[in-house]
Amino acid sequence: MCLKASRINPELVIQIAALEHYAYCPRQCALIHVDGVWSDNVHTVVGTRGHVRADTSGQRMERGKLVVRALPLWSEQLGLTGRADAVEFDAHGTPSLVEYKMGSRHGDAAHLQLCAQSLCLEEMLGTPVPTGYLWFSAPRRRVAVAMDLALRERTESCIEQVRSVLVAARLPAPVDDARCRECQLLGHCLPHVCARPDETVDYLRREVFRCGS
Amino acid sequence: MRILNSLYGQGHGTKVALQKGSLLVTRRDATRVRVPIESLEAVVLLGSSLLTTDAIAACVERGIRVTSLRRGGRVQFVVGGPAHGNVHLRQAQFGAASNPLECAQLARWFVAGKLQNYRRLLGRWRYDIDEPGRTMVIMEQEVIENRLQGLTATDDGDRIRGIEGDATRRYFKALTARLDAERSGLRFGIRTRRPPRDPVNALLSFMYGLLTTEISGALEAVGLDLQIGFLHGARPGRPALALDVLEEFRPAIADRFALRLIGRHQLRAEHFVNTAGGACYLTEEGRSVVFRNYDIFKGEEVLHRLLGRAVPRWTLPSVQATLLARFLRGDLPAYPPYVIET
Ligand code: SF4
Repeated sequence: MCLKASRINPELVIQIAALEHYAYCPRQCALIHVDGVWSDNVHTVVGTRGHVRADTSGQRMERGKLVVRALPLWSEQLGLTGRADAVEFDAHGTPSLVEYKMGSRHGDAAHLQLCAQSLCLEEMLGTPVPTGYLWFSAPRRRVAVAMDLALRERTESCIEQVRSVLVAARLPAPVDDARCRECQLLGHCLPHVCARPDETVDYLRREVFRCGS
Repeated sequence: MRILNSLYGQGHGTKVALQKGSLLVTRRDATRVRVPIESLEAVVLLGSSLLTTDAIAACVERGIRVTSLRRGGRVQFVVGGPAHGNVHLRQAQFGAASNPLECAQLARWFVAGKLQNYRRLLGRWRYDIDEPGRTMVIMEQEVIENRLQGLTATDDGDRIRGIEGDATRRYFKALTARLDAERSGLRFGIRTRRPPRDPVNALLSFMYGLLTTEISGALEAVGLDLQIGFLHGARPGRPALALDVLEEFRPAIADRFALRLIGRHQLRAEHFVNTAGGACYLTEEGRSVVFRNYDIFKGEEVLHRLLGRAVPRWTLPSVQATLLARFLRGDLPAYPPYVIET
């Protein structure tokens, strides 16, 4: 199901990057896009450096293809906004997105992000965007991702879920698992403490209000 | 002098300038220290030390707080970057602050943390003090325990402040006995604030001021509004929320540190000056002693019982600021104040 433009509050336009954050952890998505929390750490600093080339906008011919870098993307239909690392046009004029990734594996989150970008591009150009590419810098490798119906449906449902997290006043509960160790918001989120509210109650009783020996 | 993540500039004629991405501190005696700006979280200026506009701009750009302190420890001014974006947290903070019941709840937790830390310190001091001081300390500890229990039963803000005031008077009485036992030669009568009138008061006021700047920085970094407090009411220019969080840290950090300096005779009578009107302040040399040792003290690891792990003391203000934000944002059922190990 697709949310139509008329029903979208203009304030609820979603950053495409939020889908990736949501796919990683719904609470991370809310902390970044609702609470505005962002702390630079090793991961993000390296990530930013990796994007320098992609952020320099402009267009030029590369190996017979027209490549446009740092292209702003949006969709009125889906209420999305973002930016493409690069858009390539092949000899027939068919566009496809190229998204640069640090490391080698990003799983479904990267696919959702790429698909959301492709949906934007389709709406902006009025042409089908059948394929996208992920460029992994660690083993310098390019992977084609088909924008099939299943991926499109998953992406649209993810957009809806993100929107419902962004309108909710409360933050989603922490996942409190292996993801947290790699998460740049660990220190702000305090998943171990927030996932166990009983321990805080117990701490107050045992340590803060404790009397006698 | 560089202390972990804070740079302290003090002394007439000390100049802090920006040079190739580092802060260059030049003292009047021409000694120079270079500090990479990436390693800093705060710059604290004392007295008439000087900071160039370039250096201020570089600090603000990186979110490094620049604070100027008066010699007594009061905050003279703070330079910070643009406000953080967490409007939801601020809304929750304002909501709680305008609800008397929620205010009382938070006030109770701040005061409970302070009283529990009083209690734990007194529990240690009784072994260091000879009679008749010891009996007095044991008695006051019992009364403070009573007050602490009285806190659980009340959600009346004025009553909480009354309990806090009474417990603090009793605690300082015990602190006097503890200081007498040190035979340090430093005077401490009753707690005097504006201005401090003896060396121990001068040291305590200075430490509370220094801690307030550290707590303020931590609160702002998580996106809270410093001026909206729960225990301390709103007054122009008063960092009410920082003073709220300061309560648990006064005994836990400032008083413990002060006692250590005095007990080890690192601060002596010659490190203080008296003004004509009877006010007492640390000398520049005295403040240097404070900074040098505060560096070591802040670097020591202590157990944070709720986090369940040891953390260096200098991270405690941000840990508590984050826990407060998590409570206000609805993630935690209560604000858990920091308590020292027994
Ligand atoms: S620390 Fe864990 S729960 Fe918190 S935002 Fe990160 S991944 Fe999610």
